[in-house]
Amino acid sequence: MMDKDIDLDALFAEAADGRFDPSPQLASRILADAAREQPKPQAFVRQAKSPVQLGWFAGFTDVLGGVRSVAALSMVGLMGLYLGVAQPSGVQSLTTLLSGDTTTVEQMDLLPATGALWAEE
Amino acid sequence: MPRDTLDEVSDDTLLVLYANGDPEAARLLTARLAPRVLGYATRLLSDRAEAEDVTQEAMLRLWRIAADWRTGEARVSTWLYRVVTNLCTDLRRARVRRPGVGLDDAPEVAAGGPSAVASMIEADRMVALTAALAVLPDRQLQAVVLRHIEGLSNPEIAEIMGLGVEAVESLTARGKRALQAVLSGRKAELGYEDEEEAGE
Repeated sequence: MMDKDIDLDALFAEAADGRFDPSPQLASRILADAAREQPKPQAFVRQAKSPVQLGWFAGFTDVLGGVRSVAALSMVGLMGLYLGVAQPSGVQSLTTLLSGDTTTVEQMDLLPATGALWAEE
Repeated sequence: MPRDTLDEVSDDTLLVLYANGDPEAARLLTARLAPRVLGYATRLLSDRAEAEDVTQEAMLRLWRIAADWRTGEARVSTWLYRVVTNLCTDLRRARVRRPGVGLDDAPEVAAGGPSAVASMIEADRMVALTAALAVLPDRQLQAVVLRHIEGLSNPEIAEIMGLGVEAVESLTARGKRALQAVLSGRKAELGYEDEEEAGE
């Protein structure tokens, strides 16, 4: 082994014992960099609402509880219109089942007492 | 430096504290890491002034990455060694070929008592080692210093240098052989023959 000539491990150990303390000037420069680069704590700021002029539709949706509420109401309204116009057989069966009556809308006299008022004597 | 509770805080944790605005964390990290960075850079560059610049630059990069540091992925010291390795490699390549500290430039041992001679011989050995290290190729130099002076394990060195462990072992072995070849001719100058004679 060549280490019999020079004990490199002993030489390395001597070198490893040496300490390289930064000079005060270098330490100051490093700490100045650290202070400059240190992330600053972010202050919590409430995002102010921008003064956007709302149109009549926006005001309308606000009154009804927002866009989602308006969408739900619209969907329900359209569904009701469909059921009323198309009168699917399933709905008729259900109506019959619930009311036990087969009276149709055309046969119903909603204001039977008013007929006489319009009749010419 | 005596151990205290602050010494037990990991580098990772200190870096997170720094990123969160703790002013004390930077001082602790500097005290802990700057001497190692400076020592490693000095051994790679054989130039204290350049090593100080590299140290400041490496620490600056550490401060800048602090906010994005992901704990548990890499050790702070390993990351710093990698940064210093790259900075020193760039400097050594860019630096104009100038005569480094040659063995012939080592200071002569002055006349004096036995203890003075011994301390001068020890100082000469360090100068000789520095000069011998300076003639090694970059990769061998880095591997030898990280393994035998900084005391890192081969896997850590492999991570720093971006190599496999076997490549690190090969570089270290070749570096030691080269050092041995450079230094063996100076055995008598460095006091090894005197020690051997005294030991017989």
